[in-house]
Amino acid sequence: MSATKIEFEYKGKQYTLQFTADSLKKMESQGVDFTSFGTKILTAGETLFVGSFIANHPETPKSLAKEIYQQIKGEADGGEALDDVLFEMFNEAVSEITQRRGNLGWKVTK
Amino acid sequence: MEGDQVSVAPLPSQEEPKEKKIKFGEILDEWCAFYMSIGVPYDEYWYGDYTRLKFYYKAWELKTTREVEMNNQASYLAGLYNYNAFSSVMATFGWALGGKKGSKPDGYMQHPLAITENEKKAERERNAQKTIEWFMKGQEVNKDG
Repeated sequence: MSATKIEFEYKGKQYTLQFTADSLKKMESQGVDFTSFGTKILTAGETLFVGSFIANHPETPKSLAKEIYQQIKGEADGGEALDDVLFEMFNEAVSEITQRRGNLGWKVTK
Repeated sequence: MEGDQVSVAPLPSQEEPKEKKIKFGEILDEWCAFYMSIGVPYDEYWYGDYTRLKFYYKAWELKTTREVEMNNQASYLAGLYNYNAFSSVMATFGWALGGKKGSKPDGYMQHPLAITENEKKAERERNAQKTIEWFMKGQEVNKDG
């Protein structure tokens, strides 16, 4: 088993989208608040899609990533499943990295 | 003026503590240290395939379990050798106090306890050799008699 990826070709360029520990950290440092995904469900998919470029295509402009996202979402064949796959990829990355015995946990303390 | 309400600002120590939100990046940093402690290279953790991490973890668990079992075995063995040494001393002491009657106790074991297959084989060979020597001695006594 290896990490879940999204692969496609756009305007003659091959893309492989995935998450790594590094890309998740960079997403957060760029302003993504993972804890707000529950309340920002409509934009979370696009946020994850843009973030999934960091691992293999960090040079891709956000505007281009958003353009590709909108195009895939608009496709009749499987476009609506994109968000599900992105959330699955995100959950898989987080759980594979942080869910071991003696989990350090991710909690808010006062 | 009488009847006027005066609001007093709370002292700093009386203020409600603000919630400190832990960043996910901090959690990732902590996990990085943990994974590095069990042998995951830095780059593998941050840029590699995270699905491999569970194998590092499983290997670490197995190694740790095996080390605990080996330490336990070694401690048990050390206790056994100590017990054997003490028994040998006591037997020799008792023999000396009893006027050195009877055959002298063997003393401390001549060879380590046989644990591995090679050691067990060597022990079997030693025992066979002893039996042959004992038998030959018996024959010589009979011949002389």
